[in-house]
Amino acid sequence: MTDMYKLSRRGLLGGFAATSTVTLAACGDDPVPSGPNPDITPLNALLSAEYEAIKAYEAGAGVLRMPPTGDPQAAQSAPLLVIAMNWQNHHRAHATQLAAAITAIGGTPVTEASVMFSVPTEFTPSVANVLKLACNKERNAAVIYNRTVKALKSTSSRFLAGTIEGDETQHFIVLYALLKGIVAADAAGLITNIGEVVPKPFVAQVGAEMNSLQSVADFMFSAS
Amino acid sequence: MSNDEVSRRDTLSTGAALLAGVGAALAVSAIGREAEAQGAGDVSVLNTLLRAEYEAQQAYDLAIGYFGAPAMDDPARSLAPAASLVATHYRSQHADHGARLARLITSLQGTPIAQSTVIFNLPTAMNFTRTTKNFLRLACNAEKGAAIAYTNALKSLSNVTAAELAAAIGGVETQHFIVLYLLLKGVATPGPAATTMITEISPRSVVAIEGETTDLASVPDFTYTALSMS
Repeated sequence: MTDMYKLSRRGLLGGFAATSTVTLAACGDDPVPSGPNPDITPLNALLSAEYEAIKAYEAGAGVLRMPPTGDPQAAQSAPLLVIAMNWQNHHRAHATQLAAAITAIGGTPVTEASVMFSVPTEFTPSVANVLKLACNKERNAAVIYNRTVKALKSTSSRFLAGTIEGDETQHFIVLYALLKGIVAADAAGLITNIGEVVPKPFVAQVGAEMNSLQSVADFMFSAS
Repeated sequence: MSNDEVSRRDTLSTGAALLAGVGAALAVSAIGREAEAQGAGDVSVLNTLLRAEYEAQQAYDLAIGYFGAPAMDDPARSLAPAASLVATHYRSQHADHGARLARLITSLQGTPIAQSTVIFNLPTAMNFTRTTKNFLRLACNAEKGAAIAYTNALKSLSNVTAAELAAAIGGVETQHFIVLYLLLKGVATPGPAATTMITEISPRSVVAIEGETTDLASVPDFTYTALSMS
């Protein structure tokens, strides 16, 4: 068992969802008349969650790179690894924007080094368990982002939370539908379009980059 | 069919029309800086989103009607039954969104637009013909436009409950979008549980609403299983 499977109190509590909830509970609803910007704390909770997600995908990638002997889904690990790394990059993009927003309102972003992630105690390495871990975390993240929208005071902070939330919900439903067997991967389609499995890290554009669904072209209609 | 009549709206895709409409509403809200004006701005934005929900329901009605009797020469005819199940489920979630928006508008002292005043027309100027894939394309484009519109609405909604609802609905439109997108891109196909568990394709109609017991927070985590090494 490697370091990534070590137990921690935070792991027992459910990872970044628990972290964020505690912070938000302390945040309150009323505007603070003076002092630090009230959005700093909830945004930093989200940033911590993103760093945990990055580390969670790294832990999952370790399993996908070398699935256990006898894992019935070992053959799917290679494309899943590509998707996991793409989505880890999404979380990095989220973290970058959150850190910039925190700095812009006079706060100090938490550092990635200060955030720890441990897999749940009941987790055992397998491809299926990696998918379940990611799905559980993405769902929790989406819920936390939505709750944080209600805690944030400024519309720009709410927008940032919302545009990230809609990415977490896409990650979640892809994993959920796969795990439930409602959709199945098409091997040939996956090879040619693997980058399209949640194509952008944001729903609506953040900053100057073409980083959102706004830059995804509409489908054209055809006779077929 | 009256819903198919040509109109000015036909010249825009559904998604583009939605974005344009919300953009106009956002512009209106940006003008008003005082609290009262902000409240009116919120109602305007919410009513634009409500209109889009009513249009989405009508669009899905048309799609469901087609999926029930696809053309004999439709190359994706075999997909129509599964597409109908998905469309019916998504339509029901848009109906829920519409009801939630209308209630919120009323609570903000606004007047929700009447569903009967909203008419959706299929595109006529973009080579739209009735095929299974074209209805899926139409839905995918519109869901993407809706997701963007809900997210951009957060820039202007001053009422925190309105912002919470917009985010909660927007996070469901994104789920609708990506499933349709992956099916159309050929990355995904209907799985073995597509007919028996179709409501799980988007298991809740909102992501998170304070006090709700049926939002995404109520979906249980997957439990981990050990590999059986027989």
